[in-house]
Amino acid sequence: MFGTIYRFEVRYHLTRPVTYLYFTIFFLLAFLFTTTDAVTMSGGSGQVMRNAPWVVAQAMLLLVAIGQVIVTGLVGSTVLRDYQYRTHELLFTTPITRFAYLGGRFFGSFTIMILVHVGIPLGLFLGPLMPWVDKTKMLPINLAAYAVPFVVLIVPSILVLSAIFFAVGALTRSLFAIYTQGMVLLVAWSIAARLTADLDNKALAAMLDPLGIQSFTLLTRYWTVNEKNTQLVPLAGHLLANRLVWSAVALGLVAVTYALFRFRSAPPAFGRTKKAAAVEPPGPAIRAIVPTQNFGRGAWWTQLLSSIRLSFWTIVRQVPFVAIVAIGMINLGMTAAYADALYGEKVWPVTYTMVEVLTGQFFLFFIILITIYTGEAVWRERQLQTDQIVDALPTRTSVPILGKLGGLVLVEALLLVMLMVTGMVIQAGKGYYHFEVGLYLRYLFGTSFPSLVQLTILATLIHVVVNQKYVGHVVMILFYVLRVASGQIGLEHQLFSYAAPATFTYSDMNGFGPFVPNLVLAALYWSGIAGLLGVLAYLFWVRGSEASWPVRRRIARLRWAGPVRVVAGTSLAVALAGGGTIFYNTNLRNDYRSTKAVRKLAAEYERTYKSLEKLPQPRLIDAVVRADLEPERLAFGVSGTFTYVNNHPRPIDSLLVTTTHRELWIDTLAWNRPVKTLVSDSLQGTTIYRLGTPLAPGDTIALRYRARFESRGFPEDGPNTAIAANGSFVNLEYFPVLGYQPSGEIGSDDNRRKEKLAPKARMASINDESARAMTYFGVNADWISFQATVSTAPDQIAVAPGYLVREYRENGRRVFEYQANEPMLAFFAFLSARYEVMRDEWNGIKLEIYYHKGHEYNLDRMMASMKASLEYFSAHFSPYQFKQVRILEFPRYAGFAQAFPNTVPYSESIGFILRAGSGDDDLDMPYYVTAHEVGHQWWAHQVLGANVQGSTLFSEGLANYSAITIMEKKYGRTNLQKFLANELDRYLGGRSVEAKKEMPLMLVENQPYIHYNKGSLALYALRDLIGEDPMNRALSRFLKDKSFQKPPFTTSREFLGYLDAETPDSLKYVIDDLFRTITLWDNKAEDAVVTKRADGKFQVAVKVHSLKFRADSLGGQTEIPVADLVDIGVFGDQQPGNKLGTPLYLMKHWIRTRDTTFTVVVDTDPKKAGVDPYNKLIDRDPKDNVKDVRQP
Amino acid sequence: MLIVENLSKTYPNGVRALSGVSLTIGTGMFGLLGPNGAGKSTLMRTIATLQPPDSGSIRFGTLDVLAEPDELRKVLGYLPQEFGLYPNLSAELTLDHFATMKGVTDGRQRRDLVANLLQQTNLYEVRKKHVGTFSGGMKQRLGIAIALAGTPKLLIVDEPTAGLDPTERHRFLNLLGEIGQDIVVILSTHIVEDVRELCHAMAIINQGRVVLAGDPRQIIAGLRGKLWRREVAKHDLAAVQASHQVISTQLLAGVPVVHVYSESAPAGFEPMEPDLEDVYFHQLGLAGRREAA
Repeated sequence: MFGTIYRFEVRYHLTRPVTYLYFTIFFLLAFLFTTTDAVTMSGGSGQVMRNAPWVVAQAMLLLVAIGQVIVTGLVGSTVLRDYQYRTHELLFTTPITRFAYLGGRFFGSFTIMILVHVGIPLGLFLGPLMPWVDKTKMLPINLAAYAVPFVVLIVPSILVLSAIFFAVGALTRSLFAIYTQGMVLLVAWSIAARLTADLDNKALAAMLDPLGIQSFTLLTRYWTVNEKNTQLVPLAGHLLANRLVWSAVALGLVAVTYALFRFRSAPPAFGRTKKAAAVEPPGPAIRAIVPTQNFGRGAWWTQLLSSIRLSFWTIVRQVPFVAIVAIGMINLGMTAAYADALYGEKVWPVTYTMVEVLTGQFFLFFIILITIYTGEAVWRERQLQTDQIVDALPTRTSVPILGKLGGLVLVEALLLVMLMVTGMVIQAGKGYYHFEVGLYLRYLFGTSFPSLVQLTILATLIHVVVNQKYVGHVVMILFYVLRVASGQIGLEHQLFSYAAPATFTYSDMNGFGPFVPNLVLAALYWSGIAGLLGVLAYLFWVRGSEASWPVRRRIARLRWAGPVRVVAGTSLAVALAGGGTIFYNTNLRNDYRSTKAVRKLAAEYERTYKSLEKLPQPRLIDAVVRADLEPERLAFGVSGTFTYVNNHPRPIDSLLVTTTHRELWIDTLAWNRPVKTLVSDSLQGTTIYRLGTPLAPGDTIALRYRARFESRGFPEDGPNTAIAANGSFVNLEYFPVLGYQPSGEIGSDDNRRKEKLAPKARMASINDESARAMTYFGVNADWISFQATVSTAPDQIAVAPGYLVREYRENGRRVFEYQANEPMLAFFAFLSARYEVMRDEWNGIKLEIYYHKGHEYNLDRMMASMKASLEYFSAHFSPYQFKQVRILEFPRYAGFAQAFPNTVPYSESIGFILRAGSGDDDLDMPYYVTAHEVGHQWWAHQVLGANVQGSTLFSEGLANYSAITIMEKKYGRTNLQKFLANELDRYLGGRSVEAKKEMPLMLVENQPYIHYNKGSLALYALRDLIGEDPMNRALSRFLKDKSFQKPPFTTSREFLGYLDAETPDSLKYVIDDLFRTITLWDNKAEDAVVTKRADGKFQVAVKVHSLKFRADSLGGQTEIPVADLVDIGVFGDQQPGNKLGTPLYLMKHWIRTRDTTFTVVVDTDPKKAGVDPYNKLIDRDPKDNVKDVRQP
Repeated sequence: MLIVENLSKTYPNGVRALSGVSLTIGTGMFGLLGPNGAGKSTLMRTIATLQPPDSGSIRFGTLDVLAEPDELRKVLGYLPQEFGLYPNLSAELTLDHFATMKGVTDGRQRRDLVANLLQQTNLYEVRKKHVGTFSGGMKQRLGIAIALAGTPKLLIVDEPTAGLDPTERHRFLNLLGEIGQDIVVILSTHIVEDVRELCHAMAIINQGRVVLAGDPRQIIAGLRGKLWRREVAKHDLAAVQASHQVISTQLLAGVPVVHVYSESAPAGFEPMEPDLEDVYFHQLGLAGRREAA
């Protein structure tokens, strides 16, 4: 009996075309995933091969997660089918057992689910074999890489999904519940994903995820390139547990379904009892009524309103809708609870972060809601069988269409308002009471809403044309996929991306600023297109019981009359006007270049001018510059006189000037000696001159320069935000530099290969002596004298490096003159905004913070940090070279802080809205970031490395180290624990997505995860071992010898010499481990046993397992013997802000064997004990270093 | 006056649903009888502007229905054979919405109209209840209320009594009877009783053709003296069927009773008074024989 039903079920699905459609969709998704660049988005970049086992496994997991929204109907409707076709009463009265019926149906459809999903590995397997796929990014074919993850990862997921779909379908018997459950699952999944944002919850989140993606991510998050390419997914740890638990849950769910399911007609009622109907008063007497019927324009409006109301209420009153929205809001609440976390740090929940998080999170929801509910709306009458009544009504065909659209649009508006309310509730909950309702409304209704309406119209058209609900959903999903993929197939211009709002960045300082025109025009353009789609939907709308295409075409021709033509004409006009204006702006007023064209241009630059890279050029020694900023007109002029000296031993006969910014109109480029222009290539910004008489060694030459930038509408890649109505930040790229610029070359090896260029070394070798002629800032300059004049709007303050000499008004402009009294690095910029200023002083050094009104949150912390930093650094490193430190806020068009001489521009998104001191384990990030930037006044602005490997170790690495030191002075060592753990997590995560090769710290090639995160860890660990004084001695000697250097510039090898000199012989191994090699540890506390001694003290025996590895550049590792001095710690009760507890014992011990047991005695009751508890070493699994102590 | 001329319709799958149907239907109740699949619903939907025919014409008064479907819809009330309503909406709101759609845009008038219709269909007491909780009869009555909203001059009701219990059926027919005085009402059914009770004109339709049309009383009169009946033993049934033009075989207390058509009295049969059902079966039988021949 079971077999019969099972076979029937399988055969049934095999006869249905939709089964093959699912298979094809999965196949195509997988195929596209591997044959386009989509695979690089999922981490398969650089050295990770396209068909690496890890990539294959991850792709499978992701595609199953995406695909589950599509296949819900397959299993879900197996039982419902019998009710739909009304065969249930026949079936349930036959002698079939419940077991055979449910079992046969479930396992039959489960089998089909597996078959359908085979499309995924098949697509992933065949995709990379296609001739156009780059074969250099392929590993030899390994069938196990496809088969193993399919069996261990995908089949359990399919089982879980099938069980859920089956249970919901069999128990609710609601088609709607079946279709929406995919979405509910997606939400559950995203909640789990959210939890992983917090390091401590990762294990829990991994267990909660029914599809195993979180477990997979957790298990492989530190996998190196090598491991990704070679290792099959091990069914171990969290992943094994997850797969087992969820398989068991799935079977349990099937069992529960079996237990609850009854052979009867109605679905089980869940505890709802009907109240006795109240006795109604008798109705009014019947009067004969002959109502007036009205069919004019007024009636049309009344009917439309009634239809909108009906459509709105039928959606909003449905239980599933309420459930979906409730789940969505819970999800939002959870998300938004973390919305103020930026890079793991708390920020103030300002309106733009709230809106961005809320809409970002809800976007998927909107897409699914639009897809499902538009389908429901279009099909509602036909599903309820009200269609014949409705279609025979004397209303115009436009009434039901517009009524449904109107209802959907109202629902969307309602949801947006709910988002706004949620946002404000969360803000209030977080103690932020600056409610900007206007901003919420502009943000939500100005940018998101038009796009939602346009998508709804598209979905309507699709459902009307396709005229099969299910296929309509699939087509809509394919549309989303295509829209994401359109960039990949060359359609990257905004005019191809239906209903996508123009990209923009809101800034507290500058509002929506220069993005408004494009936003408005894009909304108009797509609304026009949507209007045309709406007209098509109207023309082909099915009214009546016949939907064959000849009939629909005939009816469409009849409907194509009068007002429809007006609507179509207007829409077309709006689309053409909007689209035309966009095109005029992006392609005619500005140069439009596709990604490919930009790449080709860079390749062209390299091919044409690379040979001139070593051409000797004079060096900048003096800059007198002027910037005339016109924030009101989004324009500025720059000019200057640059003096260069020939610092080479031989005369120089040719000059190569590079002007990198392509939108700049260059007015003057004139030398003060006779020159002949050899090449003038405005496309590449390269001009080459031959000097009339060569420039003798030691001689100088001056360049006069004048250029102007004027924004002309908006370019496709976004408006230039260097000049802003409030918050301009004009930097060096608007000034000329001498020499060929390697930074103009294509960096990514993948892209270089497309242009047939050889792979490029990221940086010159540390052994390349010629490269030591330049600093790693790249420009042909080192320490210069500097003078700047900057004019701006009368209500703004403009700032440049140097000291303010004079301020005056000229032609209605406010003018500032700055001058540097000491030689400074040739690194300058101009900022201007309506600033408020906070001033203070430390030991005669002026301290200033220029900030946007309203962003006062962290001024005191920043000020305190500046003082503490100046105090410590000048006492222990070297004196501060300037008389002033300034911090300036700039809009969040960029998210960094950057140290210029005595001047630190600081993005509004990073320092100014950080929220310090709000919770237990927060770090004072404004304090930290400020200290880091002040640190740069030493590490970069006093000593700067050569343009070779390793130089960022002693700029970024030391700036980080300096900041940690300042933090530790203020907050104590134990509070640094979380910070160091974060640094370790980012280092291990960073190396797992390395695109080229991981380098040891000494040879770091400007790799942030190495110079920042590993740099912090290594320098801190070294100081921890050798002590603060020797460390400071090494640093101050290094500064003394290498500050304000002339070429050849110093290197990390020289820097390590200073550290080495202060390190005792017994500890010199540490410098090898931390700086010269890639070394990883895996320390683990295996056991910790406490025994109470007779004297009342406690003896703790900690059993430690230690491993130590050396890794190669791709993460292949070899074990080496341990011989390290490592912290052993025992901890007492927990304290707020200190999860580890009070240290009862903390001493360094030598570990020389894999397994060691340490016995220590402490006075008070121990709770935890372990090895390297503060994660000072680079530990591949930092979580297992400490264990709760146990009684023997 | 509704005049249907030469209406033909073949579905894409080859089924010939209507072939050359011509009917003239005046004011009052018109019954359309026919077995399942005879083309009744196709004819109803075609008249109700939901489906274009392949050929033929439909005129309602001076109105060319096929050319101006919107004009017919203004005076049309239509109750399809199987229909559903918005389950989460109350009867009152449902009716209100449909009245609006029918052009009753004045709020006060509409309120009165809705109350009136609810009274008339005996649903006033349950007007606040969700339609989803209604029984078949209640839903059917609400359906007719919807069809009656506005001032229909043409009312088409397709198989309205199928599935109703006898009480509900009578209540519904009485309601129809009240309405069908001054307007054109087309009642399609396969239940002969319905027609006999209500209609003063009728047509029988089979396999897409009109096989008979006229006043039911006259049609019955036409058979008078030509119908005979007899109880037959089961084993003789086949022989009787072979030798006579059998209209129907019914069971009476378990014994087969055969009705036959004959111009003169056949041996062993007794004369009987024809009723509409006999006419119906006679016509279907004729059609079947034509088909066979």
